[in-house]
Amino acid sequence: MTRTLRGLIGLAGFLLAWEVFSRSGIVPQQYLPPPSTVLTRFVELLGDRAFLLDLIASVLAWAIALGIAIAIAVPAGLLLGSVPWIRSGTRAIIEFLRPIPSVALIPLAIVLVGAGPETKITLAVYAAVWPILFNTIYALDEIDPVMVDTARSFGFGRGRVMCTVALPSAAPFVLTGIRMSAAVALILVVSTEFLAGGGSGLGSFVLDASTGAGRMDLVLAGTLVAGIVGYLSNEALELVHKRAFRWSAVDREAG
Amino acid sequence: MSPLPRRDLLKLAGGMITAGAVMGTGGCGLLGGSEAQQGGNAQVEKANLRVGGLPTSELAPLHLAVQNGHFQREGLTVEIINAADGASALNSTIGGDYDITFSSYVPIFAAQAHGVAQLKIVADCASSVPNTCMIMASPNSSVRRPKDLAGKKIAISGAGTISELMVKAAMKANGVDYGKVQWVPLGFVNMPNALRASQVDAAFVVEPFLTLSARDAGAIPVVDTATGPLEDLPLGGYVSSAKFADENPKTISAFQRAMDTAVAEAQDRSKIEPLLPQFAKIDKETASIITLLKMNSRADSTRLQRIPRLMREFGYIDKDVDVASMIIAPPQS
Repeated sequence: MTRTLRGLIGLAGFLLAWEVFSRSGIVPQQYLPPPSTVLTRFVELLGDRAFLLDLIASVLAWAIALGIAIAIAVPAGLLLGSVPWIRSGTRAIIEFLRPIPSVALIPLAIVLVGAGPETKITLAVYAAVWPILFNTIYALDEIDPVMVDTARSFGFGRGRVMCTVALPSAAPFVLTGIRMSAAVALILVVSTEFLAGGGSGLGSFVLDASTGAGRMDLVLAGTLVAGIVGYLSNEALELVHKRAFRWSAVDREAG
Repeated sequence: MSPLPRRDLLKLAGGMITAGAVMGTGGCGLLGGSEAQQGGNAQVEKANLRVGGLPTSELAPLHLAVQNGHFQREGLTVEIINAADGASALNSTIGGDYDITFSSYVPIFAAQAHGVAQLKIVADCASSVPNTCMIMASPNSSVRRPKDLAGKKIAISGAGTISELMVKAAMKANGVDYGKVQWVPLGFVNMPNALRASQVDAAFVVEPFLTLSARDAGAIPVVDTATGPLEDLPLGGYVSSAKFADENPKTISAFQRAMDTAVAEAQDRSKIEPLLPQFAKIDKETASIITLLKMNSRADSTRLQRIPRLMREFGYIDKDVDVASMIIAPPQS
């Protein structure tokens, strides 16, 4: 509980500093509204039907993107991690694709999959695949060879070793990858909405609030909502991690 | 050491896939995409329209037509998609992502004259009235009269935009040389602050930033561009690609009828004001004091021809554009 308390004290201190700085008049208040104003807007927005629809649109797109990314990256990671020649054959392509900033692909995505929710989901999937993929590959490198040999000596075939030994021992690494990807996918969904425009979504809301009338209070309130979604998703995944993989030390490394 | 049993892993994976499938099918409407239904109905060839827009006050009639069911009565379901800026909205329409879009007239006629696209004007949107499009000066600059603008730093929303054209035309009308002006491209949203902090000497500002720059930055009006040669200048309208218009004549007519009704209704300011906080995020207080543009719905070739004529005069295009051939005649109701 003391950890929570410390966290709250830290947060209160930050908000207080922000409030003082904002009210001091160093920058005009409409460009950096104090947290009291932002929190008021935040509460108002949570009761606003149009905003809730924006929120649902973004969260749904994010959940779908993360689901698709998991479905692509885990099998691909198992394949690349266990078959050396495929891994060395695809290394160059993967290292080329990985650093491309996903938002730079917005125009290409619009041409390929059309405008609308498909664009942001596609880009979020693209960005979210990498952390899961690499974590899965590395996890397979870390398997205790004694366990594999033991399973082999019991006459287990390749597929069975994969399911009974490799996958369970890789699972904590994979989940750590999913946690990283969850954050990446959320950032991508919101920034694609912001950059490409759209009918609904948190990013579109922020875009309208900033270009329509320069409402920084609404911009920050919308950003706060996105931050809370990211925080809650991370906490939930961390909880799953602690429950399911109590025996693993990976979460301590991942922080 | 007890790793997750395989059965649990399989269950977990199965659950995720099921959840994903359920979300994917049930969430389509909530995702904010229009249903992928390309068909029409008895009234129109294409019932679901994607219309590009911007979060600016002149789009109020479009939002009014959605809210009050004017489109629905014509058999249309319109999804308004706010683009990041006018140019990208027009590009999305040329590319076929939007069926119809709002755009200011300068990029429309530029695209037509340069042969980038064949566009059709579906409806007019708004034209300038006094106190809506003004050149404002920073309170600390020496600019007080039109002739002071020569050789100064002037902020405009972008090169090749209607704001640049209006500033040049206003300066020429006042006999001021605009050749040595330093143009500073800046988003409207940043103009009040740029004027306050003297980052520019003057700026071409539109509502609601006009009200905000006067109120918060102490900016001083220098020229009202909507007087003299630019009085009642058509600023923007709704366009579609010529291909879309040729293939969907009934849809276009239905859109025009709905906009006619909405614009007639929008002449009453009290109908528009409550919409501004919703789609343009203008706060209620500001919404009640800003000057609204003159809302129009029927495109008139004589009035619209003024824009390409001005564009040619100031070197934006090198040949004339025949506006009359671009306008789709409104239905005879």
